[in-house]
Amino acid sequence: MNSFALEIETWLGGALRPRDCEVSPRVLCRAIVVGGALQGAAMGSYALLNGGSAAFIVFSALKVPLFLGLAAALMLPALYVLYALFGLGEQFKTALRALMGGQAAFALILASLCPFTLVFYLSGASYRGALGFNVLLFALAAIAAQGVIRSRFAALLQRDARHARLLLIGFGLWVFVAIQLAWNLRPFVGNPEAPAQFFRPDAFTNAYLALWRVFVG
Amino acid sequence: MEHALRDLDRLLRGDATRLSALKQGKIEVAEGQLPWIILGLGLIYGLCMGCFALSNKAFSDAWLQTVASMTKVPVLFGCTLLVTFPSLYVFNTLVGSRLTLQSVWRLLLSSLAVMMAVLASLGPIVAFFSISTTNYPFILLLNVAVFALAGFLGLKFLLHTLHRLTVVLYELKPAPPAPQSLAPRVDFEGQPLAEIEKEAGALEPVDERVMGANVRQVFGVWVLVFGMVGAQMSWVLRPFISNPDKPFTLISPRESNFYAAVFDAIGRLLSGG
Repeated sequence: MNSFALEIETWLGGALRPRDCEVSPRVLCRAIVVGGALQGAAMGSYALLNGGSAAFIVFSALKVPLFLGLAAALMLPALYVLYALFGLGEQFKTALRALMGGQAAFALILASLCPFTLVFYLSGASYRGALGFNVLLFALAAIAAQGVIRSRFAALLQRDARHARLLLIGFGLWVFVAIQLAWNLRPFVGNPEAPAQFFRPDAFTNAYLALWRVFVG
Repeated sequence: MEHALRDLDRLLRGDATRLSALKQGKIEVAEGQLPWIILGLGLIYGLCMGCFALSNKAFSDAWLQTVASMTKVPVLFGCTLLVTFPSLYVFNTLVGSRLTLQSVWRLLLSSLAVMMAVLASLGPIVAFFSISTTNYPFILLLNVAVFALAGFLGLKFLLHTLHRLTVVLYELKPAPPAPQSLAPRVDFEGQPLAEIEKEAGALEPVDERVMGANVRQVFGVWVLVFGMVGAQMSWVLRPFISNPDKPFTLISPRESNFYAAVFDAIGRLLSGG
Protein backbone atom coordinates (compact mmCIF):
# COMPACT_ATOMS: atom_id res chain seq x y z
CA MET A 1 0.00 0.00 0.00
CA ASN A 2 2.85 2.35 0.92
CA SER A 3 4.67 1.72 -2.35
CA PHE A 4 1.42 2.30 -4.26
CA ALA A 5 0.90 5.62 -2.47
CA LEU A 6 4.51 6.53 -3.18
CA GLU A 7 4.02 5.73 -6.89
CA ILE A 8 0.90 7.90 -7.04
CA GLU A 9 2.78 10.70 -5.28
CA THR A 10 5.61 10.40 -7.84
CA TRP A 11 3.16 10.75 -10.73
CA LEU A 12 1.24 13.61 -9.22
CA GLY A 13 4.31 15.44 -8.02
CA GLY A 14 6.16 14.90 -11.29
CA ALA A 15 3.34 16.09 -13.46
CA LEU A 16 1.99 18.91 -11.33
CA ARG A 17 5.09 20.45 -9.77
CA PRO A 18 6.26 22.61 -12.63
CA ARG A 19 9.84 23.09 -11.50
CA ASP A 20 10.49 19.38 -11.09
CA CYS A 21 12.08 18.61 -14.45
CA GLU A 22 13.79 15.41 -13.35
CA VAL A 23 10.69 13.25 -13.79
CA SER A 24 11.23 10.55 -16.39
CA PRO A 25 9.13 10.62 -19.59
CA ARG A 26 7.85 7.15 -18.65
CA VAL A 27 6.29 8.50 -15.45
CA LEU A 28 4.75 11.38 -17.40
CA CYS A 29 3.33 8.91 -19.99
CA ARG A 30 1.82 6.82 -17.22
CA ALA A 31 0.25 9.93 -15.70
CA ILE A 32 -1.27 10.81 -19.10
CA VAL A 33 -2.68 7.31 -19.61
CA VAL A 34 -4.06 6.90 -16.10
CA GLY A 35 -5.40 10.45 -15.78
CA GLY A 36 -7.01 10.33 -19.23
CA ALA A 37 -8.50 6.89 -18.62
CA LEU A 38 -10.06 7.96 -15.32
CA GLN A 39 -11.71 11.02 -16.83
CA GLY A 40 -12.72 8.96 -19.90
CA ALA A 41 -14.39 6.32 -17.72
CA ALA A 42 -16.26 9.03 -15.82
CA MET A 43 -17.43 10.64 -19.07
CA GLY A 44 -18.56 7.33 -20.51
CA SER A 45 -20.50 6.38 -17.39
CA TYR A 46 -23.41 8.62 -18.39
CA ALA A 47 -24.95 5.78 -20.41
CA LEU A 48 -24.76 3.25 -17.55
CA LEU A 49 -26.18 5.72 -15.02
CA ASN A 50 -29.14 6.33 -17.34
CA GLY A 51 -30.01 2.74 -18.23
CA GLY A 52 -27.61 2.33 -21.18
CA SER A 53 -24.58 0.15 -21.87
CA ALA A 54 -21.56 -0.07 -19.56
CA ALA A 55 -19.34 -0.59 -22.60
CA PHE A 56 -19.13 3.19 -23.05
CA ILE A 57 -17.08 3.37 -19.84
CA VAL A 58 -14.41 1.12 -21.33
CA PHE A 59 -14.57 2.83 -24.74
CA SER A 60 -14.17 6.33 -23.32
CA ALA A 61 -11.46 5.18 -20.87
CA LEU A 62 -9.51 4.03 -23.95
CA LYS A 63 -10.40 7.00 -26.09
CA VAL A 64 -9.13 9.87 -23.90
CA PRO A 65 -5.54 8.56 -23.57
CA LEU A 66 -5.70 7.55 -27.25
CA PHE A 67 -6.75 11.10 -28.13
CA LEU A 68 -3.94 12.67 -26.10
CA GLY A 69 -1.34 10.21 -27.40
CA LEU A 70 -2.33 10.32 -31.08
CA ALA A 71 -2.55 14.13 -31.18
CA ALA A 72 0.96 14.34 -29.70
CA ALA A 73 2.36 11.65 -32.02
CA LEU A 74 0.99 13.36 -35.14
CA MET A 75 2.59 16.63 -34.09
CA LEU A 76 6.00 15.26 -33.14
CA PRO A 77 7.77 15.25 -36.57
CA ALA A 78 6.55 18.76 -37.43
CA LEU A 79 7.59 20.05 -34.00
CA TYR A 80 11.08 18.58 -34.36
CA VAL A 81 11.60 20.17 -37.78
CA LEU A 82 10.24 23.54 -36.61
CA TYR A 83 12.46 23.56 -33.50
CA ALA A 84 15.47 22.71 -35.65
CA LEU A 85 14.65 25.37 -38.25
CA PHE A 86 14.15 28.05 -35.61
CA GLY A 87 17.61 27.28 -34.23
CA LEU A 88 16.35 25.55 -31.09
CA GLY A 89 17.16 21.97 -32.05
CA GLU A 90 19.51 21.60 -29.06
CA GLN A 91 16.68 22.44 -26.68
CA PHE A 92 14.06 20.23 -28.33
CA LYS A 93 14.36 17.45 -25.76
CA THR A 94 13.84 19.85 -22.86
CA ALA A 95 10.90 21.51 -24.61
CA LEU A 96 9.36 18.12 -25.40
CA ARG A 97 9.62 17.08 -21.77
CA ALA A 98 8.00 20.37 -20.72
CA LEU A 99 5.16 19.74 -23.18
CA MET A 100 4.75 16.17 -21.93
CA GLY A 101 4.63 17.55 -18.41
CA GLY A 102 1.87 19.91 -19.53
CA GLN A 103 -0.09 17.01 -21.07
CA ALA A 104 0.36 14.95 -17.92
CA ALA A 105 -0.82 17.87 -15.79
CA PHE A 106 -3.83 18.29 -18.10
CA ALA A 107 -4.74 14.59 -17.76
CA LEU A 108 -4.31 14.58 -13.97
CA ILE A 109 -6.33 17.77 -13.53
CA LEU A 110 -9.08 16.16 -15.62
CA ALA A 111 -8.91 13.04 -13.46
CA SER A 112 -9.15 15.13 -10.30
CA LEU A 113 -12.34 16.68 -11.68
CA CYS A 114 -14.02 13.38 -12.59
CA PRO A 115 -15.88 13.09 -9.23
CA PHE A 116 -17.66 16.32 -10.20
CA THR A 117 -18.67 14.67 -13.47
CA LEU A 118 -20.20 11.74 -11.61
CA VAL A 119 -22.04 14.01 -9.17
CA PHE A 120 -23.37 16.07 -12.09
CA TYR A 121 -24.53 12.89 -13.91
CA LEU A 122 -26.23 11.61 -10.74
CA SER A 123 -28.05 14.92 -10.35
CA GLY A 124 -30.27 14.10 -13.32
CA ALA A 125 -28.36 15.92 -16.06
CA SER A 126 -29.67 15.72 -19.64
CA TYR A 127 -27.37 14.34 -22.38
CA ARG A 128 -26.80 17.84 -23.77
CA GLY A 129 -26.13 19.09 -20.24
CA ALA A 130 -23.57 16.29 -19.74
CA LEU A 131 -21.84 17.27 -22.99
CA GLY A 132 -21.73 20.93 -21.96
CA PHE A 133 -20.44 20.09 -18.48
CA ASN A 134 -17.60 18.01 -19.90
CA VAL A 135 -16.65 20.76 -22.35
CA LEU A 136 -16.51 23.12 -19.36
CA LEU A 137 -14.28 20.74 -17.39
CA PHE A 138 -11.95 20.26 -20.37
CA ALA A 139 -11.68 24.04 -20.77
CA LEU A 140 -10.98 24.46 -17.05
CA ALA A 141 -8.31 21.73 -17.11
CA ALA A 142 -6.74 23.25 -20.23
CA ILE A 143 -6.52 26.68 -18.57
CA ALA A 144 -5.02 25.19 -15.40
CA ALA A 145 -2.55 23.13 -17.45
CA GLN A 146 -1.45 26.28 -19.31
CA GLY A 147 -0.04 27.55 -16.02
CA VAL A 148 1.99 24.35 -15.62
CA ILE A 149 3.26 24.52 -19.21
CA ARG A 150 4.23 28.18 -18.79
CA SER A 151 6.11 27.40 -15.57
CA ARG A 152 7.85 24.44 -17.18
CA PHE A 153 8.84 26.65 -20.10
CA ALA A 154 9.91 29.56 -17.88
CA ALA A 155 13.60 28.66 -17.95
CA LEU A 156 13.53 28.05 -21.70
CA LEU A 157 11.69 31.31 -22.35
CA GLN A 158 14.20 33.15 -20.22
CA ARG A 159 17.01 31.67 -22.27
CA ASP A 160 15.41 32.31 -25.67
CA ALA A 161 12.25 34.22 -26.61
CA ARG A 162 11.83 32.12 -29.77
CA HIS A 163 10.28 29.41 -27.58
CA ALA A 164 7.21 31.61 -27.14
CA ARG A 165 6.64 31.79 -30.91
CA LEU A 166 7.11 28.03 -31.30
CA LEU A 167 4.80 27.35 -28.38
CA LEU A 168 2.12 29.40 -30.12
CA ILE A 169 2.66 27.68 -33.51
CA GLY A 170 2.64 24.28 -31.81
CA PHE A 171 -0.55 25.09 -29.95
CA GLY A 172 -2.26 26.23 -33.18
CA LEU A 173 -1.23 23.01 -34.96
CA TRP A 174 -2.34 20.91 -31.99
CA VAL A 175 -5.78 22.56 -31.94
CA PHE A 176 -6.13 21.95 -35.70
CA VAL A 177 -5.37 18.23 -35.32
CA ALA A 178 -7.16 17.79 -31.98
CA ILE A 179 -10.52 19.10 -33.23
CA GLN A 180 -10.57 16.56 -36.08
CA LEU A 181 -9.30 13.73 -33.86
CA ALA A 182 -11.92 14.42 -31.18
CA TRP A 183 -14.57 14.42 -33.91
CA ASN A 184 -13.35 11.04 -35.20
CA LEU A 185 -13.22 9.48 -31.74
CA ARG A 186 -16.58 10.77 -30.54
CA PRO A 187 -18.75 10.00 -28.57
CA PHE A 188 -16.83 10.45 -25.34
CA VAL A 189 -20.01 10.82 -23.31
CA GLY A 190 -22.00 7.58 -23.51
CA ASN A 191 -25.45 8.15 -24.97
CA PRO A 192 -27.94 5.75 -23.26
CA GLU A 193 -30.14 5.69 -26.38
CA ALA A 194 -27.35 4.82 -28.81
CA PRO A 195 -25.95 1.32 -29.38
CA ALA A 196 -22.55 0.71 -27.76
CA GLN A 197 -20.06 1.38 -30.57
CA PHE A 198 -16.46 2.53 -30.39
CA PHE A 199 -16.88 4.84 -33.42
CA ARG A 200 -20.03 6.49 -34.69
CA PRO A 201 -21.12 5.37 -38.17
CA ASP A 202 -20.19 8.83 -39.54
CA ALA A 203 -16.93 9.00 -37.54
CA PHE A 204 -14.69 9.51 -40.55
CA THR A 205 -16.11 12.78 -41.81
CA ASN A 206 -14.72 16.28 -41.56
CA ALA A 207 -15.09 18.18 -38.28
CA TYR A 208 -14.51 21.58 -39.85
CA LEU A 209 -17.19 21.10 -42.49
CA ALA A 210 -19.60 19.94 -39.80
CA LEU A 211 -18.83 23.07 -37.77
CA TRP A 212 -19.22 25.20 -40.89
CA ARG A 213 -22.66 23.68 -41.52
CA VAL A 214 -23.69 24.28 -37.89
CA PHE A 215 -22.64 27.94 -37.85
CA VAL A 216 -23.17 29.00 -41.46
CA GLY A 217 -25.69 26.48 -42.73
CA MET B 1 22.75 7.25 -45.83
CA GLU B 2 23.46 7.99 -42.18
CA HIS B 3 25.88 10.69 -43.33
CA ALA B 4 23.17 12.27 -45.51
CA LEU B 5 20.66 12.22 -42.65
CA ARG B 6 23.22 13.92 -40.45
CA ASP B 7 23.71 16.54 -43.17
CA LEU B 8 19.96 17.13 -43.29
CA ASP B 9 19.86 17.55 -39.51
CA ARG B 10 22.76 20.02 -39.71
CA LEU B 11 20.90 21.97 -42.39
CA LEU B 12 17.71 22.09 -40.34
CA ARG B 13 19.50 23.12 -37.17
CA GLY B 14 21.46 25.78 -39.06
CA ASP B 15 24.83 24.20 -38.13
CA ALA B 16 25.75 23.77 -41.81
CA THR B 17 24.89 27.38 -42.68
CA ARG B 18 26.59 29.23 -39.81
CA LEU B 19 29.12 31.79 -41.01
CA SER B 20 31.93 29.71 -39.53
CA ALA B 21 30.75 26.65 -41.51
CA LEU B 22 30.61 28.51 -44.83
CA LYS B 23 34.33 29.30 -44.88
CA GLN B 24 34.84 28.01 -48.44
CA GLY B 25 31.89 29.99 -49.78
CA LYS B 26 29.70 26.91 -50.12
CA ILE B 27 27.57 24.67 -47.92
CA GLU B 28 29.53 21.66 -46.75
CA VAL B 29 27.07 18.85 -47.46
CA ALA B 30 27.43 15.60 -49.37
CA GLU B 31 25.84 16.71 -52.63
CA GLY B 32 25.89 13.16 -53.98
CA GLN B 33 23.66 11.90 -51.17
CA LEU B 34 21.35 14.85 -50.63
CA PRO B 35 19.21 14.05 -53.73
CA TRP B 36 18.52 10.60 -52.25
CA ILE B 37 17.29 12.18 -49.03
CA ILE B 38 15.08 14.52 -51.06
CA LEU B 39 13.76 11.53 -53.00
CA GLY B 40 13.08 9.55 -49.82
CA LEU B 41 11.26 12.41 -48.11
CA GLY B 42 9.25 13.01 -51.31
CA LEU B 43 8.22 9.36 -51.39
CA ILE B 44 7.10 9.56 -47.76
CA TYR B 45 4.98 12.65 -48.37
CA GLY B 46 3.58 11.13 -51.59
CA LEU B 47 2.51 8.10 -49.58
CA CYS B 48 0.76 10.37 -47.07
CA MET B 49 -1.05 12.10 -49.96
CA GLY B 50 -1.97 8.72 -51.40
CA CYS B 51 -3.77 7.81 -48.18
CA PHE B 52 -6.77 9.80 -49.43
CA ALA B 53 -7.05 7.53 -52.48
CA LEU B 54 -6.42 4.42 -50.36
CA SER B 55 -9.35 5.25 -48.09
CA ASN B 56 -11.74 6.65 -50.71
CA LYS B 57 -11.24 4.71 -53.95
CA ALA B 58 -11.43 1.15 -55.22
CA PHE B 59 -8.21 -0.76 -54.51
CA SER B 60 -7.12 -1.02 -58.17
CA ASP B 61 -7.29 2.76 -58.66
CA ALA B 62 -6.13 3.56 -55.13
CA TRP B 63 -2.72 1.93 -55.31
CA LEU B 64 -2.11 3.32 -58.79
CA GLN B 65 -2.85 6.82 -57.46
CA THR B 66 -0.62 6.22 -54.42
CA VAL B 67 2.31 5.13 -56.59
CA ALA B 68 1.65 8.11 -58.88
CA SER B 69 1.62 10.56 -55.93
CA MET B 70 4.81 9.04 -54.52
CA THR B 71 6.50 9.48 -57.89
CA LYS B 72 5.13 12.92 -58.65
CA VAL B 73 6.24 14.70 -55.46
CA PRO B 74 10.00 14.21 -56.09
CA VAL B 75 9.45 14.84 -59.82
CA LEU B 76 7.67 18.13 -59.03
CA PHE B 77 10.56 19.40 -56.93
CA GLY B 78 13.20 18.01 -59.29
CA CYS B 79 11.62 19.75 -62.30
CA THR B 80 11.21 23.02 -60.39
CA LEU B 81 14.89 22.80 -59.42
CA LEU B 82 15.97 22.24 -63.01
CA VAL B 83 13.81 25.09 -64.34
CA THR B 84 14.96 27.64 -61.75
CA PHE B 85 18.62 26.70 -61.25
CA PRO B 86 20.02 28.43 -64.37
CA SER B 87 18.21 31.69 -63.64
CA LEU B 88 19.35 31.74 -60.01
CA TYR B 89 22.96 31.32 -61.10
CA VAL B 90 22.67 33.98 -63.80
CA PHE B 91 20.90 36.52 -61.56
CA ASN B 92 23.40 35.78 -58.86
CA THR B 93 26.28 36.56 -61.20
CA LEU B 94 24.56 39.66 -62.60
CA VAL B 95 24.18 41.24 -59.17
CA GLY B 96 27.89 40.82 -58.56
CA SER B 97 27.91 37.82 -56.22
CA ARG B 98 30.98 35.59 -56.36
CA LEU B 99 29.12 32.33 -55.71
CA THR B 100 30.32 29.50 -57.93
CA LEU B 101 28.06 27.20 -59.94
CA GLN B 102 28.67 24.43 -57.40
CA SER B 103 27.80 26.74 -54.49
CA VAL B 104 24.50 27.72 -56.11
CA TRP B 105 23.71 24.07 -56.89
CA ARG B 106 24.38 23.03 -53.27
CA LEU B 107 22.36 25.96 -52.01
CA LEU B 108 19.34 24.95 -54.11
CA LEU B 109 19.69 21.29 -53.16
CA SER B 110 19.89 22.24 -49.49
CA SER B 111 16.80 24.46 -49.77
CA LEU B 112 14.91 21.62 -51.44
CA ALA B 113 16.00 19.28 -48.66
CA VAL B 114 14.64 21.73 -46.08
CA MET B 115 11.36 22.03 -48.02
CA MET B 116 11.00 18.27 -48.26
CA ALA B 117 11.81 17.83 -44.57
CA VAL B 118 9.05 20.28 -43.63
CA LEU B 119 6.66 18.51 -46.04
CA ALA B 120 7.49 15.06 -44.71
CA SER B 121 7.22 16.24 -41.11
CA LEU B 122 3.67 17.38 -41.81
CA GLY B 123 2.97 14.12 -43.67
CA PRO B 124 1.48 12.28 -40.67
CA ILE B 125 -1.03 15.11 -40.16
CA VAL B 126 -1.95 15.03 -43.88
CA ALA B 127 -2.28 11.23 -43.77
CA PHE B 128 -4.49 11.47 -40.70
CA PHE B 129 -6.82 13.98 -42.36
CA SER B 130 -6.78 11.94 -45.60
CA ILE B 131 -7.98 8.87 -43.74
CA SER B 132 -10.46 10.65 -41.51
CA THR B 133 -12.34 12.80 -44.03
CA THR B 134 -14.00 12.20 -47.38
CA ASN B 135 -14.16 15.78 -48.61
CA TYR B 136 -11.99 16.21 -51.74
CA PRO B 137 -11.74 20.04 -51.80
CA PHE B 138 -10.72 20.06 -48.11
CA ILE B 139 -7.85 17.63 -48.68
CA LEU B 140 -6.83 19.50 -51.82
CA LEU B 141 -6.64 22.81 -49.95
CA LEU B 142 -4.92 21.23 -46.94
CA ASN B 143 -2.19 19.93 -49.26
CA VAL B 144 -1.89 23.32 -50.98
CA ALA B 145 -1.48 24.93 -47.54
CA VAL B 146 1.16 22.36 -46.50
CA PHE B 147 3.09 22.82 -49.77
CA ALA B 148 2.86 26.60 -49.39
CA LEU B 149 4.23 26.43 -45.83
CA ALA B 150 7.06 24.10 -46.88
CA GLY B 151 7.85 26.35 -49.85
CA PHE B 152 7.82 29.46 -47.67
CA LEU B 153 10.21 27.98 -45.10
CA GLY B 154 12.45 26.44 -47.78
CA LEU B 155 12.75 29.72 -49.67
CA LYS B 156 13.33 31.66 -46.46
CA PHE B 157 16.19 29.25 -45.79
CA LEU B 158 17.51 29.86 -49.31
CA LEU B 159 17.43 33.64 -48.95
CA HIS B 160 19.11 33.68 -45.55
CA THR B 161 21.77 31.21 -46.63
CA LEU B 162 22.41 33.20 -49.79
CA HIS B 163 22.83 36.23 -47.58
CA ARG B 164 25.26 34.41 -45.29
CA LEU B 165 27.26 33.17 -48.26
CA THR B 166 27.50 36.77 -49.48
CA VAL B 167 28.75 37.84 -46.06
CA VAL B 168 31.39 35.09 -46.10
CA LEU B 169 32.53 35.90 -49.63
CA TYR B 170 32.75 39.59 -48.72
CA GLU B 171 34.95 38.66 -45.79
CA LEU B 172 37.13 36.50 -48.08
CA LYS B 173 38.04 39.51 -50.26
CA PRO B 174 41.75 40.52 -50.17
CA ALA B 175 42.64 42.24 -46.92
CA PRO B 176 42.64 46.06 -46.87
CA PRO B 177 46.00 47.85 -46.55
CA ALA B 178 45.60 48.56 -42.83
CA PRO B 179 46.50 45.64 -40.52
CA GLN B 180 43.49 43.59 -39.38
CA SER B 181 44.37 43.96 -35.73
CA LEU B 182 44.22 47.76 -35.91
CA ALA B 183 41.30 48.22 -38.27
CA PRO B 184 38.09 46.46 -37.23
CA ARG B 185 36.30 44.49 -39.98
CA VAL B 186 33.51 46.64 -41.35
CA ASP B 187 30.72 46.32 -43.93
CA PHE B 188 29.88 48.63 -46.87
CA GLU B 189 28.58 51.27 -44.51
CA GLY B 190 31.48 51.15 -42.12
CA GLN B 191 29.63 49.18 -39.44
CA PRO B 192 31.66 46.52 -37.56
CA LEU B 193 31.16 42.92 -38.67
CA ALA B 194 32.53 41.25 -35.57
CA GLU B 195 29.17 40.54 -33.96
CA ILE B 196 27.46 39.10 -37.04
CA GLU B 197 27.46 35.46 -36.00
CA LYS B 198 25.21 34.60 -33.08
CA GLU B 199 23.51 31.32 -32.30
CA ALA B 200 21.09 32.01 -35.16
CA GLY B 201 18.77 29.36 -36.59
CA ALA B 202 18.71 28.44 -40.28
CA LEU B 203 15.82 30.84 -40.89
CA GLU B 204 17.23 33.84 -39.09
CA PRO B 205 18.96 36.72 -40.81
CA VAL B 206 22.50 37.72 -40.00
CA ASP B 207 23.57 41.33 -40.55
CA GLU B 208 21.10 42.87 -43.04
CA ARG B 209 23.48 45.63 -44.13
CA VAL B 210 25.95 43.49 -46.05
CA MET B 211 23.58 42.63 -48.90
CA GLY B 212 22.50 45.69 -50.86
CA ALA B 213 18.83 46.59 -51.27
CA ASN B 214 18.89 45.95 -55.05
CA VAL B 215 20.41 42.50 -54.51
CA ARG B 216 17.70 41.67 -51.99
CA GLN B 217 15.05 42.83 -54.46
CA VAL B 218 16.47 40.69 -57.26
CA PHE B 219 16.48 37.61 -55.06
CA GLY B 220 13.03 38.48 -53.72
CA VAL B 221 11.70 38.47 -57.29
CA TRP B 222 13.54 35.23 -58.02
CA VAL B 223 11.94 33.58 -54.97
CA LEU B 224 8.52 34.71 -56.22
CA VAL B 225 9.28 33.19 -59.63
CA PHE B 226 10.38 29.95 -57.95
CA GLY B 227 7.07 29.78 -56.07
CA MET B 228 5.05 30.44 -59.20
CA VAL B 229 6.97 27.88 -61.25
CA GLY B 230 6.45 25.33 -58.48
CA ALA B 231 2.72 26.03 -58.34
CA GLN B 232 2.31 25.81 -62.11
CA MET B 233 4.48 22.67 -62.26
CA SER B 234 2.19 21.05 -59.71
CA TRP B 235 -0.74 22.00 -61.96
CA VAL B 236 0.93 20.41 -65.00
CA LEU B 237 1.66 17.20 -63.09
CA ARG B 238 -1.79 16.96 -61.44
CA PRO B 239 -3.64 15.05 -60.08
CA PHE B 240 -1.59 14.48 -56.93
CA ILE B 241 -4.75 13.60 -55.06
CA SER B 242 -7.35 11.77 -57.04
CA ASN B 243 -10.98 12.88 -57.02
CA PRO B 244 -12.93 9.92 -55.54
CA ASP B 245 -15.66 10.39 -58.17
CA LYS B 246 -13.30 10.14 -61.15
CA PRO B 247 -11.25 7.21 -62.46
CA PHE B 248 -7.46 7.20 -62.13
CA THR B 249 -5.53 9.35 -64.60
CA LEU B 250 -1.78 9.73 -64.52
CA ILE B 251 -1.74 13.29 -65.93
CA SER B 252 -4.87 15.40 -66.40
CA PRO B 253 -5.41 17.22 -69.71
CA ARG B 254 -4.12 20.81 -69.98
CA GLU B 255 -6.78 23.32 -68.92
CA SER B 256 -7.26 26.36 -66.63
CA ASN B 257 -4.44 27.12 -64.14
CA PHE B 258 -3.34 26.47 -60.56
CA TYR B 259 -4.81 29.65 -59.04
CA ALA B 260 -8.23 29.27 -60.71
CA ALA B 261 -8.35 25.69 -59.42
CA VAL B 262 -7.54 26.78 -55.85
CA PHE B 263 -10.31 29.42 -55.91
CA ASP B 264 -12.67 26.83 -57.38
CA ALA B 265 -11.82 24.38 -54.56
CA ILE B 266 -12.42 27.09 -51.92
CA GLY B 267 -15.80 27.85 -53.51
CA ARG B 268 -16.77 24.16 -53.55
CA LEU B 269 -15.63 23.68 -49.96
CA LEU B 270 -17.66 26.63 -48.68
CA SER B 271 -20.72 25.51 -50.59
CA GLY B 272 -20.60 22.11 -48.90
CA GLY B 273 -18.17 20.13 -51.04
